[in-house]
Amino acid sequence: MFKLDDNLLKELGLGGLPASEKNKMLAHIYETLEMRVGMKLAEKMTNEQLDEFEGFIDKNDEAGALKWLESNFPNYKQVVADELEALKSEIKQAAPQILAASQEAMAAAQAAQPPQQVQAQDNVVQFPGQPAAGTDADQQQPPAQAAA
Amino acid sequence: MSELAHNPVETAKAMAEQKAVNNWVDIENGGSMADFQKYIEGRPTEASDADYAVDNSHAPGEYGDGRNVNSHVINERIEGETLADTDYSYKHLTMAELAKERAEARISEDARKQNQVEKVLNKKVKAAITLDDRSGETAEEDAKLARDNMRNRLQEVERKETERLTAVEAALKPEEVARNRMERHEATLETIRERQRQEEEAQEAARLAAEEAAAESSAPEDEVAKPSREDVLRMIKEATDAAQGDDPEATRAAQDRLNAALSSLSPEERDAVAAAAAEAAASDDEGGETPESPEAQPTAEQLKAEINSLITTIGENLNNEDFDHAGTQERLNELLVGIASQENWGNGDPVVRALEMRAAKQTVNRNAGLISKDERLTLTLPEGMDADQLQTDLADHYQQAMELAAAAEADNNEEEVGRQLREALRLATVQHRLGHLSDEQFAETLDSLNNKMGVPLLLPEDENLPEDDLDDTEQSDEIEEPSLRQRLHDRWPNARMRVRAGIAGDYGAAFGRRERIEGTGEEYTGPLNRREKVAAVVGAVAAAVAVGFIGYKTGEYVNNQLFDSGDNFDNLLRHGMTPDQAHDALNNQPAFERVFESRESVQTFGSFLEWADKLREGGLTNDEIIDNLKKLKRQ
Repeated sequence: MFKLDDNLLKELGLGGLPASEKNKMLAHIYETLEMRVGMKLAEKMTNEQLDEFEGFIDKNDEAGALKWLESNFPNYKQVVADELEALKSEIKQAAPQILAASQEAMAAAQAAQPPQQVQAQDNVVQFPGQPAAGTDADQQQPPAQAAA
Repeated sequence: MSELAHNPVETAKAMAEQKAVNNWVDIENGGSMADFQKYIEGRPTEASDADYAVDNSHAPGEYGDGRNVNSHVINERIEGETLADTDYSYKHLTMAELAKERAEARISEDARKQNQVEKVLNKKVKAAITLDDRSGETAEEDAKLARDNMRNRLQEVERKETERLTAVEAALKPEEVARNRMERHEATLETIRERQRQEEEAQEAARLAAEEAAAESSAPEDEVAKPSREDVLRMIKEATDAAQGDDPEATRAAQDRLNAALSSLSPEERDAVAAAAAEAAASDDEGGETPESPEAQPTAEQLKAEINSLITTIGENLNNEDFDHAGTQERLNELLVGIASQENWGNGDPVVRALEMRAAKQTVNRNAGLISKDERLTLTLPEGMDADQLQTDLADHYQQAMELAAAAEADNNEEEVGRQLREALRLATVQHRLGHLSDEQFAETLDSLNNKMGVPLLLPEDENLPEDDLDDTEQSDEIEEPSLRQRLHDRWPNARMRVRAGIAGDYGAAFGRRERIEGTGEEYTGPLNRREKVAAVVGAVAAAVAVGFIGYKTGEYVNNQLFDSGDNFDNLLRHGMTPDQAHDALNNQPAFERVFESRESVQTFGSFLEWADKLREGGLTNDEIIDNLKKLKRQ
């Protein structure tokens, strides 16, 4: 199982990023991974396989594309793992610069407006202006109860 | 001339000569047929060199002496033709000779053919004469030879016809195979239905017999000896064995005996016997004769696991003509009997238990694909059965299960609470399939069970909620990145959008691309080539499935234990879903997670499977479970 989460960012040396930056970074890593995995898989495809997969794209058949992938590239998860490892190596090297850039941006932002109390809890990233973790969930009604 | 007309050689020659002369006469401007005749008659057979000497001294139309050609042309010809004239006529004469040769050759050929015909005729005549002269014995041999020849010819014809039919058969084979397979499949289904009908009939008889026995036992002259516990256990085993056999009469008789015995027991005694029967059934399933070794018996969970495995196996072999469908159904019966015994389905009532088992079997077969998911599952009332009484009984059973669940809850016996609520779910399913509950009533009943069980079982249909409101708008407001599966759902259109926009991304750059993609001034890398187009989408699909991307809700990380969906897919298959159902379930799973998030419940895939298993045990099909998920998604 490949997890892209806070632990991964810590492993990469990016645990000090603000919460909002963490989310952006995770999403960005993910998209980059998508592209690299996609190119790696597409490079291995024959013209016939390209035709078949294009058919799923054109028909907007998401489930069909997934099934096709599982049957034609059963090792695709290994491809993802390899690409993720390569990507992690690159990010680790760039981590100091990323952190520095982030801190500069934060300092500039704090200089531009009054400081606001934002504290991240253990394992819970707190977004500015949002209630504490768990509060929001507690306020929601279970669907079944709401329907009853 | 008449002679010439019948002689092709002479005719050809004459025609050629006439043509030559005509031409010649034309050239000389004055020739006539009389001149021609003269020429023919007086023409020298052989000309000397002197005769053909060139004389170019005279002018055209005249010869050297100045005489008029017209009056003396023939004589002049005879006396000395010019080279040109001689050459001209010579050519035509040569052609005549050739024509003559060809005509002669044709005659010769005709004669040869005629000769051949004559030879053949002569031969046949001779043969006929010879045949007439032959003895009867020889004729008999010839007849035998002729028969042999005819037989050989017939055999040859048959051989060729066989070859032709074989070729036709080979061409038709796929269709025939498909048709045969379909017929076998239908036959299998028919067999299953027939067995279900037989079970119905057996239960009907059992029910009637039980009623009669009850009536008899309540008679004033009740002197029937109460059977021992061992006797009842033996009867239960006999009835169970008979129900698995193919003899409806034996089944009915065994069930009659059992019901008569059960009716003589008090409710407490019945419960005790049912518990003992469950243990005995578990022992029998293991094949051992020693009920003292319970540790060797498969647990209900193991039996369920085998059923799930069977579902997968059946699903994979739907079109496999060599697969033992009948044997698989038999094994399914055995497993259901084992589970029902261990979990005391029907709370001791054999009729209810039988109905629950039939409903469960329907569910299993539908989940395996043997019954179309488009087919509405129904249970039919056996002929002769009092429908009103059964309806009342089932309602009472449901009420009893709910009361037992409440009592167990008061005792903090969670296991018993779950068992009774699942019993209630099975009963509701039976009632629904018998038509005692409408769809709406069934939904309300399940909603009630839902509240009791603490997890959503099935939500009532919201008729006013349009289908289009399912996905993006409501989720984008609340959940920025809802879950892995939702990511797959989201990445797909995102990737397709990138394809349409022509953005394949700079694959080497790890950072900086996000702004470009999400910003208003998107930069294009130019039109995608075909491979890039596929890469943009296949990468999104592969990564979404393979990566447990953290889901984060606005303000908090909500899920730090996401899972590998590839394994989840396999898990669903192991739990009896077909690949299509597994995909469908996973595609709708985020809704499940959202509900559980809001309840502060665990969000693991294991809880999803557990929840689905509870529904399945209660008699819901996998398709109904997926419908349940979709309804959750609407909330």
